Amino acid sequence: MIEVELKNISKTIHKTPILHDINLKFHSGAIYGLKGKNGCGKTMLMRTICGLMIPSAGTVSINGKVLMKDIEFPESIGALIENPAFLPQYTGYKNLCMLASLRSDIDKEAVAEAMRRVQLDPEDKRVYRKYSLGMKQKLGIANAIMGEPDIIVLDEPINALDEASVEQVKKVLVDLRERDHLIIIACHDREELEYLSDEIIEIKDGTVVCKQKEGVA
Amino acid sequence: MRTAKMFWRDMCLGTFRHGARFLIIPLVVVLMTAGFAEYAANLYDAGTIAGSGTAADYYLCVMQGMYIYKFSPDSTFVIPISWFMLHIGLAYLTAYYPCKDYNEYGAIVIPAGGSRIRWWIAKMFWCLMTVFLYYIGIAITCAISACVHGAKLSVDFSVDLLEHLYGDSMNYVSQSDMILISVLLPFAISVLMTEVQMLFSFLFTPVISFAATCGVYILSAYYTCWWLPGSYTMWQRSSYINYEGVKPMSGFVIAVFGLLCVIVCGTLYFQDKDVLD
Repeated sequence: MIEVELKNISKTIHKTPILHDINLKFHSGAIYGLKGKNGCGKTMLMRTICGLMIPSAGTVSINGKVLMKDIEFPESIGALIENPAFLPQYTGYKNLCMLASLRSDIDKEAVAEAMRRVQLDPEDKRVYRKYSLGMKQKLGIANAIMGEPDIIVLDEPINALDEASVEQVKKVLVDLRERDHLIIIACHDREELEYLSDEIIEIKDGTVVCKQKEGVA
Repeated sequence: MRTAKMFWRDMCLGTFRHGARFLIIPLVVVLMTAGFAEYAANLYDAGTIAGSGTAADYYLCVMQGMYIYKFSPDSTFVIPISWFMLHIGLAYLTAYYPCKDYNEYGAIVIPAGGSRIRWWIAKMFWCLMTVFLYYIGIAITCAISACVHGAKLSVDFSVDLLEHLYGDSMNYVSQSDMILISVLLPFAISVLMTEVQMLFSFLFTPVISFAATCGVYILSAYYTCWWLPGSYTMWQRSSYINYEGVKPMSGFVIAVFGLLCVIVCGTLYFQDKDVLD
């Protein structure tokens, strides 16, 4: 059981307020959708949850452990934020294996399984620079879900994906939710967001303006 | 363990992948030792010296730098090009990778590694190991050059040969002192320079940091003083060789103090840094 709590989160960068007094709670076994215009603060909020961005005020806690006080990064998290960046001279599988080895709790079979789940072939000898945009996006999703972390944060996961791939990703996310993972996604496609999310959080100008519960996918 | 894995990743991506840049070493060594080999051979043929030199002599030739420059209207200052190329080659090798890795892959690698400080420490070890490999490269290339020119493969320097080149003071310097001022001290200062350059590349930009490093080396060649670290990389400027030279102990103090500052400043800088693209 995972609980992520954001209390009074604010962030200012170069005197520009990015996030303002955000209070949210997330629980495992649910998919939370973030929606809002470009530049409203969705990505920055996701970065804050991942520990990549340190809030100017407020706290992020995961099961009671406060980020940057008790732990630096969430202990079990996978994230796809903006454009995934991998090493262009290695295959997708090799890229994920290198990252998995840093985390030490993910073996090669888990890497291969994550790739297969998003319809990528771990045996594919093509290097990352030869991947299409959709394949790069899928590799980013595979990186986020490999090892099945407790918290999965995905920023625009279905960008550049064809219809079949979108359906596959949706299946994966629903399956992960059923197995009690906490998933936070941002998506511009209103239909897909409403289909997937148990709760949609609307953000405007760095603040939460609306939270609505949706039907279960 | 994670730090070691990040360090190994840095070695593969930041050093081994750019192995071609180490070619500056044989280029400089060949340029510098060609004239030295001919000079040693002439002295040997004339019976002035007992042997045609050793690998250590070749190394000392490459690492000599320049004599203490004293400004005078009659003498022109000329940067010792080979010495400069060697040290700038090392600076270039370590100039861009840390910033590039942070900007392009930091958002993925740092959380995977679990800690910003762990990432920074891995980078510092990467810097240290790259300098170490660079100096190993210099030593091996000098040894090969010595063999090619018929010199002995020995770590003992030839007093008689070096006396001809650098003066009587070579008679009074022991083997261990020469190792101190030509190997250990230049290595320590090179580590300091590259670590400071790496830190500055984050505080400013890699280009500014690299330019500043070049500037410090040029100033060091012009001015011989204890607070310009470049002089400590030229064993000719040691107080063991020239009474007006820089004291080796000062160099070690600067290296240790400087590295501690880099560790502390880097830790303070990265511990609260947002990992943004």
